[in-house]
Amino acid sequence: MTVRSALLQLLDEGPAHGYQLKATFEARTGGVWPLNVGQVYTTLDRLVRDGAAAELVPAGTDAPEPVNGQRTYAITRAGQAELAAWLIGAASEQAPPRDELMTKVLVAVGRDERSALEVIDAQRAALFAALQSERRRQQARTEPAEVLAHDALSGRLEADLAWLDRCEEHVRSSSSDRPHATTSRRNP
Amino acid sequence: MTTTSTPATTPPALELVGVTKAFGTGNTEVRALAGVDLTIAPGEFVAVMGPSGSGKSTLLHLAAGLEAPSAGRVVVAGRDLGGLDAAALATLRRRHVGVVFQRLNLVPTLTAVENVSLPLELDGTSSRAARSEARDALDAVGLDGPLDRFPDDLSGGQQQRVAIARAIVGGRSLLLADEPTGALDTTSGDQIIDLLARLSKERGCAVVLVTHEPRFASWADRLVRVRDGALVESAAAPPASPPSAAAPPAEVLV
Repeated sequence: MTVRSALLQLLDEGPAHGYQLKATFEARTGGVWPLNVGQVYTTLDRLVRDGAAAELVPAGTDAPEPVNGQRTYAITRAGQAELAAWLIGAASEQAPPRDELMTKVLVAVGRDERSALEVIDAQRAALFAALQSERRRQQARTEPAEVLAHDALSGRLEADLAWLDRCEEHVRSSSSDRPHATTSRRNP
Repeated sequence: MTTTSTPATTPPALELVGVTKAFGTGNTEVRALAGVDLTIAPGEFVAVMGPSGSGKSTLLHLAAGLEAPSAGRVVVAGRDLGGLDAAALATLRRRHVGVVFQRLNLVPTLTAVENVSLPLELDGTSSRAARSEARDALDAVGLDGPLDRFPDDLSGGQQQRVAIARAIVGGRSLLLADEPTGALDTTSGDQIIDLLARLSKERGCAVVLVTHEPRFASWADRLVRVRDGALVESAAAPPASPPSAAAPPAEVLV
């Protein structure tokens, strides 16, 4: 659905053929989402079937014949309406209830404090290492789309790390007999 | 013969050995740090994280010589702080340790360059030489324009740069930064942390950054967490491997 709408956006900027669409999509998304050209053509076929796009017929011909093997596509009014609705609609990407990190940690949080913290520490170290390597590579990037796309990815790692901190707080506050270095904080 | 030589002549920038810091006594004793070991190499950039009250700031105060440990040793640039009298400690701090806080602590009645040259002048450097070193430090933090302006006439990010210049002036070997981005927006914060990373690499000045934001910690070479007064080092985990065909026969644990 996201690829379909993104291709409509590109067609709204002017007619294009499959390879152009693939290249422009990848550049606009900062290289974080490589597309298979087969997927581009399948999506274009569906857009044509649904009346959202049409194949351009070269002047003087009756049937849509590929010119130099490249078929050119254009957006239709129905396609523009679909695109407008998609751009302002709330992002409907499924929340990740089956996200691997979330599941690992939630399963561990239900166990004793020590095993829960072990899992939280290991996941935190892995996320931090990923964030560090994002940071190092980001310093070499100059292409705005690439910088922004990777900003989105590191922002998610930062959010996951902040969530692990909340999990840790929960584990520690709900553990009644935790061993700690302080001796004066016991409840009276 | 191997060519691996270790620079044995350069001591770690900071070494904590079995450091404990307790406040209060008897039943009301609180141990902010309990038997902490930490070694930071010259030029290393280490981020310290942990929940509030975990002992992060105590760690920084001990490293700065602002507080003495209840047990254990704090060694800065090869000198054990415990063996120094007040005057020697003050001198060691001025020459080797720079501190940057969230609040800027610049002297409002002194210009940027005067703020930075102050610690050198206090240490007996002539005013002329101190100004020259101060200009070098301000240049290193990317501030070469508004040298004669007063702190109030500078932006938050510029003021923090002046504070960092003051902390590194004279080629100090250890920079301690306690939430230096706390008063800044994300972009200025990024620039300040980027600057700290650059100073650690280019000037060989070890940096200890206390922060609660993973974003800023990610510039560091190493992450250390403080939990209940103890240090938890983050070692990167191996990638999860799927169960392999060569797995041992199933054992049921009851």
